[in-house]
Amino acid sequence: MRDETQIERAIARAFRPQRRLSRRMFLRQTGRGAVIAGSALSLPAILAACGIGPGASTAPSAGSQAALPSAPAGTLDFANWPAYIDIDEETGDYPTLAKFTEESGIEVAYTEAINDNEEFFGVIQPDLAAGNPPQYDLIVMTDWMIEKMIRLGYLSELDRSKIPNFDANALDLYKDPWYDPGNVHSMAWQSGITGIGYNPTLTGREITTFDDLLDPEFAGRVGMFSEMRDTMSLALLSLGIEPEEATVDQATQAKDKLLAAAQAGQFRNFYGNDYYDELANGNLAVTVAWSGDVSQMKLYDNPDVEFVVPDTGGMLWIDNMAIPNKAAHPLDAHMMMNFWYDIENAVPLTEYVGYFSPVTGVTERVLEDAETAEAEGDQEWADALRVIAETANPTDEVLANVHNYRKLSEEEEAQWNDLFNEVVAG
Amino acid sequence: MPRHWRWLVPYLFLIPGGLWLLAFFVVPMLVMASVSLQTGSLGTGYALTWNFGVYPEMIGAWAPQFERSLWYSIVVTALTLAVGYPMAYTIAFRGGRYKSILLLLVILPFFTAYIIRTLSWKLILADNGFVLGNLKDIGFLDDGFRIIATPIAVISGLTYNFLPFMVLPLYVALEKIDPKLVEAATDLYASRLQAFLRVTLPLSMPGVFAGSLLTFIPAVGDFINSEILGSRDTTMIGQIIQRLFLNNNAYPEAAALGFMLMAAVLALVFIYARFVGADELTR
Amino acid sequence: MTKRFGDVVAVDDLSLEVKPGEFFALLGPSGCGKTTTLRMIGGFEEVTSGSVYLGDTDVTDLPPFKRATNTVFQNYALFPHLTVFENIAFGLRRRKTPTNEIRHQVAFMLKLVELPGYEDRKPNQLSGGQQQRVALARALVNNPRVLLLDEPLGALDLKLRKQMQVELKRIQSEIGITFIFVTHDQEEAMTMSDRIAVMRAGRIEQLGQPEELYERPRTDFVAGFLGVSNLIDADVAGRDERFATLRLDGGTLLRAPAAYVNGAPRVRLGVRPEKLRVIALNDDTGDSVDADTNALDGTVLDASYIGVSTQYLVETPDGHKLTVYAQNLETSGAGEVLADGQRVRLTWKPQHTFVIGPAIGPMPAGDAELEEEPQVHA
Repeated sequence: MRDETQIERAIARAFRPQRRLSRRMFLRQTGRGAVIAGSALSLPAILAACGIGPGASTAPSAGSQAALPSAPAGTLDFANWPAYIDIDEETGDYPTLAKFTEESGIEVAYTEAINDNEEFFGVIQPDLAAGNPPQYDLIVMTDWMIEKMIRLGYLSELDRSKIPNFDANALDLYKDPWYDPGNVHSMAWQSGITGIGYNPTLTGREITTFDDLLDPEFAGRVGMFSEMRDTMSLALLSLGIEPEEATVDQATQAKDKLLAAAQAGQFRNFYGNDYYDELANGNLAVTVAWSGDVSQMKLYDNPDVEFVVPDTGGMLWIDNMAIPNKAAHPLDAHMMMNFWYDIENAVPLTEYVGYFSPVTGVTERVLEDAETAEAEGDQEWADALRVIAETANPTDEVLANVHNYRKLSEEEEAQWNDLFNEVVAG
Repeated sequence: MPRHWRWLVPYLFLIPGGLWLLAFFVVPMLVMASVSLQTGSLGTGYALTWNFGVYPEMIGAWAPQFERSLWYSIVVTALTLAVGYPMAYTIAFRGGRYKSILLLLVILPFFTAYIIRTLSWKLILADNGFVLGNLKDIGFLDDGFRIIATPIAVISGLTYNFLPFMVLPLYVALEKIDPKLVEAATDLYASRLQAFLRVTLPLSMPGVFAGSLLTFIPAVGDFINSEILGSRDTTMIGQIIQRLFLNNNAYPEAAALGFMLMAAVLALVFIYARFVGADELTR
Repeated sequence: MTKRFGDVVAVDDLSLEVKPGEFFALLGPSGCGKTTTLRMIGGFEEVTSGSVYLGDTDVTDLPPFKRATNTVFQNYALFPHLTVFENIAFGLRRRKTPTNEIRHQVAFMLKLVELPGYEDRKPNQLSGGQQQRVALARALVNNPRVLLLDEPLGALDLKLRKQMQVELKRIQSEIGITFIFVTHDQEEAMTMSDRIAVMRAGRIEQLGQPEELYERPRTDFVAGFLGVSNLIDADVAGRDERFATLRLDGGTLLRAPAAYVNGAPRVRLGVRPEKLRVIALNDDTGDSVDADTNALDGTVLDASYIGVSTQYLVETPDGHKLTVYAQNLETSGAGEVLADGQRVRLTWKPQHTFVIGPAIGPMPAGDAELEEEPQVHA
């Protein structure tokens, strides 16, 4: 077993070449840490509790729309997740954002401030509840959080006349979604599927279903998400329960199933973004995962990994752009949203981040770019683009087996949180 | 200023610090106390209902994590003391002209962010990383062996991160000790060991005490090491508070836990002060 | 014995014997190696080469806690965390002395140093002089064969120092233990010591009883370090049984005890300022000088009245400047002091002349030869 290939592996580890995604991985790591530290140390977060007013009552009633100014302010505060926009690896600049600035004259203060829906919500909630102008003009939040924020009256209504590209170019899947009927408050940024990522050389077999994550054979080498909704929903699906309709009793069953496995030491840990490295470097054999991550990992960090939608069902999530109430530069934010629904701008974004694009025709354009790259002799980039094209839109077969999150009332959410907290904290 | 107002001067000097403490300690504490006794939800808002029940409820729910945090921190304090004392001793008594360089080396890690330092350990000690992977390849370690995601990783991480907090006060205390006192002890028939136990150690107790507090108190509330280097089974109370506060927006529960953590730490500090001898603090 | 710190030789091939029961001083300016010498005797510094004997025992390689010496440290080094009682009992406890015995002995020591009732104080509650006594008690309670004292009175103010000098001497004579002490204060050394070793640059310049060192310094350094000396170079012009005749460069003849001069054609002679008598020279003063008296003429350069005496600076025609302490025996006030520019004659007894020569023979008296076995031998 200890043969030459082992030694080669060891040397390869020691002198691991700089890959395209090295910065991306770094961002994930530090981004997460920064949020942890920021949330722990920031006085506003502590004082936040002081101003816990009722959500909707102090905010303008849900659905109201602040009148847009006639001209853009020329600046925009945009909060997004780490590595969720195209980055020039060499300079660290954002080429497509720069294009926006060039075209519109609007300077964008782009911050990778979001690492977790709930954490970020916890940070901005006090201002929104108090009716203060928020720190950001444009934020990207997952569907269920959009639903919650609309319910609390924290998001301002969009002026569709300022975003003509959406009606012209958005795919049907992203129009009139369950969490925001009529796209009154939000428009998709990118989307993906929560399923299973695994390394066949470590599992030794194909993984098909959620219960494979609970196989004692993989004890201690399994990753779970610390995000309640993804983990609970997948567990519910494994019990044959549709998460959209799940009751608290059913959630309790899911909790019992997860808790039993957790107490038996099945899971290495509950992860946020950091599951990526753990899967890439082989610490995890199999883990709950996001679709786009795994295709990126396969391309740049670990060719062995595979993504699968569990046969019991996966979760479709859609991250959305939205404008918080009383944002300082709402017109600028509208212009930015319109900008991304232009296919010329959607393509470089997808080619970098590798998730599902909400814009029509992206797949075809990515394939075209692949051919161009091949013709120019950049075979590696051409191959990469082909993989991205494959995953740039979900197939009908995949869409048939994915579910949405449950609209949790505040009371239900607290109950589900209590249940899930038991699972994640030993 | 008229002569009879002179007595006010020292108190005037206290005003900036006092205001600072008032604004950034007393007021937040009161707010936290108030929040912990509120009930409500994000949708309806929160109201002060003097819900003292949240305290026993939280103790009941999170006792294991509470105990674990205290226990880890005691171990971490003992370890930093065991590692840090010889370091501080060597620098103070044998450092000579390299003293400042050695001290700089001790605090050098502080020039890197806490998170980055901790993350780097995760990379260095990854299951198949450069260190463990190679040890596994040469057959020194079993293939299933790991350090990350174990209590050892969390305790080691905390020990590593808080070591300078122990070394610096110890150094200050040891450096103050006149080497002549040790000579005097050996002159008075104490062996080197006895001289250490009877003279150096008792005289360095203020440093031991200060270092222990500076290590123990932040370690109890720490959540970064367990978050990054630990697993479900190493969950510490700081992670719970952070999760309740930021992820679940369960502000009263988080505030109550935070308060109890502070009370527990204060109680332990008082016991420790008794044990070590509080008068050591004032000398 | 020799001590080197790197390239620096702190103590250079020094040889020393101290008699039992002696009060012995190592005297010298700072950096002369006196403290290093003491620390080698105490075992705090390793000896680079040579050896240290305590009686017949070679203790060169023994650590301090195995030597029958105890030390009173400069600034005392009292244990600040222990009471006076525990400070004094420290050595006894290390040697497993029974508790009753400890109590008894500590009480005895406190009485000896006149501090009964201070048992429970901490060192920082004591005055400097009291700390000094505790340090002494802490060392003496162990009944060492030799007590080493490193600048024991250095931290005290002048008045207390004088008082403690007497006290130390009393205690030493009461208990009869050998004291070796280090000081840079020549007056302190003179007051207390039976013998003094004057050190300079790691070597002993001169070793002897205090009066011997004062009256008959054998080097420039000793002559200058212990009190004030007037030094003049001269050629040896002749000698008889009792006195040698020395000729100054200006031709003046002076006499010195013959035993002090040994072969060398040119020597340096010296005389202490208080041995000189000063006489005003008037036009009618004759040149006749008593044959048994040394005389030197000069001019008063400066005069200062300082109460017990008047201090003159007198310049001879060939340029030597001499300091004179004139007892104010007959004068009564600054008004009677000789004026600047006054011509004077300085006279002194030939036996008060000492000679520092390049070659110096055996001393006539007060030899360092030991009648008893040495106690410390280094």
